[in-house]
Amino acid sequence: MARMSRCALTTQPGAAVQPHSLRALYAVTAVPAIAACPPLQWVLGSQVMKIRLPALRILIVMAFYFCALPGPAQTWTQTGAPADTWRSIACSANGIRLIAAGDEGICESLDGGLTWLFLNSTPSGSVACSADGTKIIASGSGAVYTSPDSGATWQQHGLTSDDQYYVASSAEGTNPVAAGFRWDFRLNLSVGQFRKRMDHAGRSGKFLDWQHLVRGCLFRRRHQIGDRGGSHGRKRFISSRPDLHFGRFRRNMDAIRRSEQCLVFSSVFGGRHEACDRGVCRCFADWRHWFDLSIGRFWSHLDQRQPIDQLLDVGCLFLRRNTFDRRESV
Amino acid sequence: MSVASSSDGTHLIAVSLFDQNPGNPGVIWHSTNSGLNWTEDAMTGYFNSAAISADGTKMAVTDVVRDRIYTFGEPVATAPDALPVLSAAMAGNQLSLSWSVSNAAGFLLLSATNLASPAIWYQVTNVPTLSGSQIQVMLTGSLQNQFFRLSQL
Repeated sequence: MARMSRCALTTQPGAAVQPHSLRALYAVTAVPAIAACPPLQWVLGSQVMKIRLPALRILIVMAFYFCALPGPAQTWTQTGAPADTWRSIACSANGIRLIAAGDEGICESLDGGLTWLFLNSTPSGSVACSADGTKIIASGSGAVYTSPDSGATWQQHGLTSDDQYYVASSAEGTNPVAAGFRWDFRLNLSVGQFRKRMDHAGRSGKFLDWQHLVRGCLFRRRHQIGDRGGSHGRKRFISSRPDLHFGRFRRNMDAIRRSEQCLVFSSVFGGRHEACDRGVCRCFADWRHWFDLSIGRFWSHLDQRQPIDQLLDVGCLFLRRNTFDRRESV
Repeated sequence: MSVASSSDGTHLIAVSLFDQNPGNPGVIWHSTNSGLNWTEDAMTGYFNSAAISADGTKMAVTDVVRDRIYTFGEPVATAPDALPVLSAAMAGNQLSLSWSVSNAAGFLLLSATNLASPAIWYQVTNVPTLSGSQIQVMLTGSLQNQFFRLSQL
């Protein structure tokens, strides 16, 4: 990734404070000032030693210019998207095709945010797309919608009317996933064949755990989701095909995002919180950290890496490369 | 609160809705080494969603309070193989303007009231919709002396 630039938020589409302008200001003010400053002087007894170091000055000027000021052009830019209460955004693998879901519907940009068009007027809360951006899955108004053709046509999948869904999509877009936010869990097997899975969610004491699971992760493994007992009580298994790229979780939920060979996720199990990526897991022991996450401080604690085996003890197994029974180690 | 990752998991972006003090706008965090180190961006906002490209060079976030979408990384509007052709048709008292979606990237619909030099072109603010393979803008009201064109950004 290119070096991040610090910038100010602007309100005009396409406009942002460019570091170049700061450099120009610096060039016309600070550079001449440094260049015009008097030479260095030392007083040694009665001798005044005057040292002129033009080369050193030049180096100082250059160092300030290139190091003390923000880096080159990369900056945040307000897109030309229409004003809307945007709830979710997804992008193609190349980042050029953007798809945003909001209260006014689903909008798409084919040019990295320069221009936008409405694909669907259904208020939507979550959206995901395939790697090429042509296959879209979105949720809204208690239903899940899929489009196989860049939004030209949509198919509605009515699961239940009172659930809020969060969606994810595989890279090829043929295995989208939808998870109910409230009381249910659903897993689709292919586009257009959403199937309700209540066998785990509906069973007595495990209901709450699976609710957490749903809130924490979208997952899929060969159409199988399971748990099994262990020496430390219940262990939850989360796995995914490596070609499944995950969708985000918003608000106080965890986040999973597109990953071809690695998973990046965090989850909530029994009051514990874990964030994992590439076999490295970070555990957080109590809800306080979870609130930290919700206000953005979670990430300052991410250096607290712990091996995967410890994560197993708190009920989450992280797997990759399509090997369900293999434990990843740090 | 949202997190997104590049395809190899090395580039991460995390956004927050609020700062540590509720009510204060949230921030954006970046990591280029799978979460080992994080950098807080200077940009603040009420961010509720984030997306990132497979290589991690392009990112997008939504601000649920300001109702805006922001991107990081140069937007790309590659020159199409063929320029889009703008078509116009009347549908009742509405003017329908349409062009193909296949080569529409980077083109804005502009209008002018006359072509006398210097012609002043304004962006048509109606958000287009997708109708099959065509991008469509429906215009109503007074349409006298209106000229339209697609302009590449």
